[in-house]
Amino acid sequence: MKHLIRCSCYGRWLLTLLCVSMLCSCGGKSSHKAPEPENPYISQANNFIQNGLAAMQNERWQSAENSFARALISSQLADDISLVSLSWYNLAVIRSALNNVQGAEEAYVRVLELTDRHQDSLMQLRAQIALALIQEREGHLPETFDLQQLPASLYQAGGHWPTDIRLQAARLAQRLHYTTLAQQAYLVITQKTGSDQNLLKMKAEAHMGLALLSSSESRYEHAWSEAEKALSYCRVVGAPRLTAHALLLQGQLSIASKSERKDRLERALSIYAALEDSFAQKQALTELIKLNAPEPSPALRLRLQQLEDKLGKENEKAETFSIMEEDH
Amino acid sequence: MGEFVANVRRQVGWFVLLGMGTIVLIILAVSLQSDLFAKKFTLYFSPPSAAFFYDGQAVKFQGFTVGRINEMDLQEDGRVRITLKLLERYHPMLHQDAIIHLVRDGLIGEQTLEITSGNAKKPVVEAEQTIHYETAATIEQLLQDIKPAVENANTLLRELTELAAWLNDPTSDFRQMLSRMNAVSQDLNRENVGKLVINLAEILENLQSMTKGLKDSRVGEQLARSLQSTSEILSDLRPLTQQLAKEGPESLTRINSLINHVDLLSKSLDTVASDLSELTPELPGLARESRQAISEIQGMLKSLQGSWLLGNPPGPAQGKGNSVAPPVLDMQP
Repeated sequence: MKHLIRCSCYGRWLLTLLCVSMLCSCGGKSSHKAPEPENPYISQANNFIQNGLAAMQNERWQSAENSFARALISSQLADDISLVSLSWYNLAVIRSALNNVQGAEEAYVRVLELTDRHQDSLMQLRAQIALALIQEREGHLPETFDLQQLPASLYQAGGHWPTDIRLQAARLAQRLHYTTLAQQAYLVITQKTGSDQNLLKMKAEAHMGLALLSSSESRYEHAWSEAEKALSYCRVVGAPRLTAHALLLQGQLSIASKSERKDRLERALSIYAALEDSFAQKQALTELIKLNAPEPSPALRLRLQQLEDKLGKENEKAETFSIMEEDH
Repeated sequence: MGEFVANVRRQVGWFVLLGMGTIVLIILAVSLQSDLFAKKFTLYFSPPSAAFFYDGQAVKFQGFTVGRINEMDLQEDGRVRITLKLLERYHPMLHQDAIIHLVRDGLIGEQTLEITSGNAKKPVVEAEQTIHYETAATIEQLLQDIKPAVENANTLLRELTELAAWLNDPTSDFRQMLSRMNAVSQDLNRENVGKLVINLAEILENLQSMTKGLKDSRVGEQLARSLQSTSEILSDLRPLTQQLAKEGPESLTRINSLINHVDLLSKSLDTVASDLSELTPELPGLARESRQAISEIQGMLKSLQGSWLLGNPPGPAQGKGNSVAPPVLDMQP
């Protein structure tokens, strides 16, 4: 009996000791743990990249370019090759958005050089497609370029390609009139799951691409529904320019009633006006006038006239500035 | 039975003693961790006002808390004197010419004092010494400083546009300066604030030399006469509105476009405040503070990830895929 009581006492004693030692060990572990050393230039570069991406979402291109340029400097200081090539790529994307074609091409070439030297095949492919897209847009795609050179799996459901590469590949195929390939790639993107903002925006772009494809093939009902899907994603992520494009496309489709088309075109017009995109405004206005023919409203005509005057002046101004720059 | 009771008593006694000992040990460990008994030395400083200080306010050096405010008193001569108690182990790092200034931990965070190391070539600060207090410029203060300059620049540029109608020379210094001004005004950011100030200074200098150079010619005389009267920036600049009216609609259009550029410049300045996340180390104050706060939060999150509470080691670095800029495609129908 005594032995049993002594054992139980020892047990309690040991249990208390165990609890105290556990608490002490927890306390010790939770105390000031020295943070792991971190390269400040890498974190700086990452911060700048995130700032740039945030600016991109709001279409503050100049600001985004500044951030990406700083990210490039920081990544060069950190001597992180993959970060350097990423920064060059981001810079190229933004320069392309700013219509700085030469700058964008130079940046893409830097990415290609770097990724070739350091075997980063994914980034290389990304830059290669983006460069081809910009060259195609500017009408100087090298004759040696062949879409078939790209991996076939980019356009198929298999293969774990990043969505942005697939989307660019799809758009390139669309522009080069490989409609089946483009359609396949767009479909793969639309079937992706996830709630990431960039993914949703790319899904919206893929639906828009499908809508444009269907529209060019005169499958207007399908084009309408795809544009509607693009709009639904745009409303979630907030992509005003793409929203306006989708609305403009719907306004151009003759399957809808006149009032519905008018509504879409007016909505597109107001977005373009808010974005101060004169060329797109002119396109939407022209469509509206066409829709109201043979009795277009004089106010619309006047607005179109004002826009054309403004665009004319802007062109003149651009020419003057370019002449002045050349003189300098 | 008596032996059993004695045994139990002895064991209970041991148990209580052990518990108390553990508590004392924990208290001691915590005290040591929080530098309660650490050796400290005293420094003083005299800010113009004690409004932003309080007892126990942290003093940081290179981001580390090295001490706290111990006492604040108003001296007989009306000056504020604040006593700092700093940890002795950091004493050798603080040299003569060390400065203390107030910084904020983030945009809405607590204000802390930051002490600089001073001149490393000079001897270490002595205990009981009074060190210099410096007010750190914040973005608001900088903007306040810049705003009158920009308002003056507006006035100056309006006068300059009138001058341009007179001179009407595309290769003039004035045109070149304006094109530089326009380039700056396109997207005003942290770098451009500096450029803007430099450009303004250059414009002032060039304008002064231009007016001096013109004084010898007939036109120069007329200009010099007009330049003598009103401008705030160049006290000898006269409003040329009457002459402007004679110049006709062509010059007016040009002036309007130039004024638009100036307005753009003013608007761009307002966006500086909203671009805090992109401000650089060149601008002191709020920008640096917000960056400090961000890095501290990052550090805190990392420590939390590695702590026993979550039981998780720090996760893998953020995937590169999240940092790739999404393509900007032209999808216009």
